[in-house]
Amino acid sequence: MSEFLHIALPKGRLGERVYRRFAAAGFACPGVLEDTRRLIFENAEQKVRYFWVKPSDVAIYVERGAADLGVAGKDILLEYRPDVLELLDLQTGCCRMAVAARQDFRDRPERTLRVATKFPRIAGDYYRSLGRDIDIIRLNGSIELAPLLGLSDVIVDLVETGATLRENHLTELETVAPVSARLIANRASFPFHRAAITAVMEGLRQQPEEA
Amino acid sequence: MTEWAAALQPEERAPLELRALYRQYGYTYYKMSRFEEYDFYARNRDFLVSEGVIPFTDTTGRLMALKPDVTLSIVKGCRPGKGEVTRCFYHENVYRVSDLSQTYREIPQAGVEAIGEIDRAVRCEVALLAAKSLRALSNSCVLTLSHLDVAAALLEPLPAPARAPALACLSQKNAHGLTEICKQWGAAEVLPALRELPCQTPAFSLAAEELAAAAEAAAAGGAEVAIDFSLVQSGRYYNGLVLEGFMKGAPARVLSGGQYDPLLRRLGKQAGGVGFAVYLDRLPVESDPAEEDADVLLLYPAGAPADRVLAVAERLRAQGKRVAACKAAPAGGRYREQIILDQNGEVTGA
Repeated sequence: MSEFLHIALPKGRLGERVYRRFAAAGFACPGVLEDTRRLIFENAEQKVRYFWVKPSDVAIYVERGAADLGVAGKDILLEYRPDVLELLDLQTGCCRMAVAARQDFRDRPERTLRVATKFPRIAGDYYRSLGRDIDIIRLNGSIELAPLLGLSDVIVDLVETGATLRENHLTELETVAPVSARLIANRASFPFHRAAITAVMEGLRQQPEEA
Repeated sequence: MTEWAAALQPEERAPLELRALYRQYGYTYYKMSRFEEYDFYARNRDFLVSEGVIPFTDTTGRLMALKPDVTLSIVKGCRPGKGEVTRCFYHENVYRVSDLSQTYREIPQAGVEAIGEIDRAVRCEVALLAAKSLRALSNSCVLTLSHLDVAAALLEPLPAPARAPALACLSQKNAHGLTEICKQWGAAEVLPALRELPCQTPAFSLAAEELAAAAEAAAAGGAEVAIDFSLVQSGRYYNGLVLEGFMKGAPARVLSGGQYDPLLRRLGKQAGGVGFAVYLDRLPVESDPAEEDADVLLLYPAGAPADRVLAVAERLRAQGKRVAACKAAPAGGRYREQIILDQNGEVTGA
């Protein structure tokens, strides 16, 4: 590798777990996992430079070429549709995008369905595929509250174990899409870093996901 | 580089360099209006790169649009005779609504179109011109080529509803997604299916030959050439050879094009077409923070005779220096040297 490969990692537990796989694959970088306020780390020998960014911003950094590679959830890729290459399913951070409602919910197809979600595009596409008329209520957090307070009929949100839903007397109705972390690449930097990116991909493929 | 060329920004210099290149190959300059009837785009919306057309009503009440695409307009007005090929180049701004920010964007483009009885020699010439266009503007550039009939052959074993998502996976180099789709639709595993590709069919063999010829021609253009089957572009617009260009330092493709026979058929023309556009707003930004605003900052006090100030400045300019004459040094300004004039316009210090 003659030039640095810039890799955007999502801040948080998922990013740390993914970084350990990068490190085990031979692309370690001192200090990445230390508890500091630094955001950029580099390994001059391996020619890799990591930076921590907000998970929902990873795809933007990669699409705009500030990062050559990044790790983003499939939910972000489906919602924002960045023009990037999706090179690898890292099989980590696995969960699903699902429709959930109150346990006593009964669907009334003759009425517009009120859907609360952080993911309006995913929800819109899903119900459009079913030919269902919906009213999207965009929220930024505590989505489970919406059906409990009568703000919406259903929610479309990420579900991992279902514990939060159960604790709030909600039930899962449908799976919209499986979600996991993906290795993504900038389209324009791929032709210039083909060998290095392929080496990273192969290295990650050989590292099993931590339990 | 001449003084006037050095004064230009890359996006201003690039079209002039490209213009000189295209003229060498017998392409003539095509100038067009900024406006077109909205109905024209409404009827051919599926051939537009972006859905966002900017409409307006003209003084007679007709619904018009700011031109969102150059090729459509060129094809509309082009009538090559039998056996002929019309070759033209353009440098135009197009206007679109950004999908991301939903704001209006003005996008400068330069490019070439060859329309008429297109044969392999013309397609190879366009591939070569694409490579040369990249090389003219960057020392480190890659031209990627593909042929849509190859992608079509890859997806042939899949049922029709699965082809669009499979094509999306192909364009993202998403092998895991493609495997999932194959499993879901009961098709064979990807790799065994690839091994059984109908390589002996005439269409596939022809596509492979076309691609090889175009790649060989482009290789002489000075850019690195790569075959990349993830380059699938819009299947509605293109039908054969497709190409994309990248430059080091530019975060997105700077060149895009290919063969667009379906567009000509839609507009009722018995002809083929091939061409490409260079996106001048995406060229790598030249960062030269060391460059001075001028060679000399000529400082004069209030009341200094104007003719003396002008005379001193002109004398310096005659020596080939760039001179900024000011009463006070501009904040943040950068100059090689500073010359100070007194009340009489005489040089007092540096």
